[in-house]
Amino acid sequence: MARNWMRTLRPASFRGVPFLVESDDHDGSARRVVVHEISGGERHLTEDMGAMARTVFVIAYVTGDAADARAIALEAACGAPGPALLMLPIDLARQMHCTACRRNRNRDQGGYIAFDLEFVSAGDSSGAAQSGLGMLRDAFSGDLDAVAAALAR
Amino acid sequence: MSDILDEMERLASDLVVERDDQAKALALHQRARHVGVDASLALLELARLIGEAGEPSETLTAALSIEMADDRSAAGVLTIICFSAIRVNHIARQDATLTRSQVATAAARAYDLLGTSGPSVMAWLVGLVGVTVRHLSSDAASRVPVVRVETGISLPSSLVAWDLYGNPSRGREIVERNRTGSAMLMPVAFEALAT
Repeated sequence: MARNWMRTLRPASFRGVPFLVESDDHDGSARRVVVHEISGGERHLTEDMGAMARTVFVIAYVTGDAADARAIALEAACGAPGPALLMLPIDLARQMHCTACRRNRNRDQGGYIAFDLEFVSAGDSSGAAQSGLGMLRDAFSGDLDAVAAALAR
Repeated sequence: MSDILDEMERLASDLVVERDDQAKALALHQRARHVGVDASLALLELARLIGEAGEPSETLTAALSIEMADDRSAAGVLTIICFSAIRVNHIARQDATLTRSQVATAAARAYDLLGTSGPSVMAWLVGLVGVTVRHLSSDAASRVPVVRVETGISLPSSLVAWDLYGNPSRGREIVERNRTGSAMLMPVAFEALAT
């Protein structure tokens, strides 16, 4: 028996605000690779510079008698500061920033409001480059009270 | 105990120039004179304040000259050394390597004095030194090396700089690196940046 796709997909939402998904495109599952073509060389070198930032483009929509209220709620969720959980039908939930939100309403489609949404995965601040002094300050602050207590004994 | 605090008071008065930081250093020094957890905390925070104050290489040189006598002085002095060493702007690879070896030598001396305070202090100091040494290592890797230059006769530093770099104004840099008394008469063998 074939799987009932429409019944087994997850409901989509961003920052807890639900919406329906027409389509979603994903970018950034690959690597950032620099190709060095050496002058006079017969072979090139490749340098893996790490993972790409994951980007997701979603064509979303809201429907029903309360479509206008749902659309405003989704816009507010997209415009709120900071990353939030993005749920999509076949993907794991991820912390993402909404970087673009375009709303579209047609006269002929009452109760149907469409959105073009763009998301980028939230960065991990611990992986960001940090100055030596910044790292030293972090190391200094960690366990400082315990160290002071040990020195006082 | 008072010896290390006297030394830190002297360093603070020499190196801390901001009025707010001076007041903070004074308050920390007063707290550190007592006994207990708060006094130890104040001593470490005072050490960090000193380590982040002044011209980094001067602060480092001053901290390296302080005698470590017990675990508190070892923790305080090593904190100053780490915070000043990590701020030094090294021009040549060898400069960063020298600072790294100075930090490592001071750390080895400090670790020997930590017998009574337990593993938490040792682990904390190892963490500070580890961050500092890693930073100095990456600093060394990104700096230009120093080369030894032999001219056979004494030459003015500006002429040497012109010959080496095509830029006579870099003569001062060669004089400072080699600590020569006269810019007009450079030694016949000296050190210079490779580029």
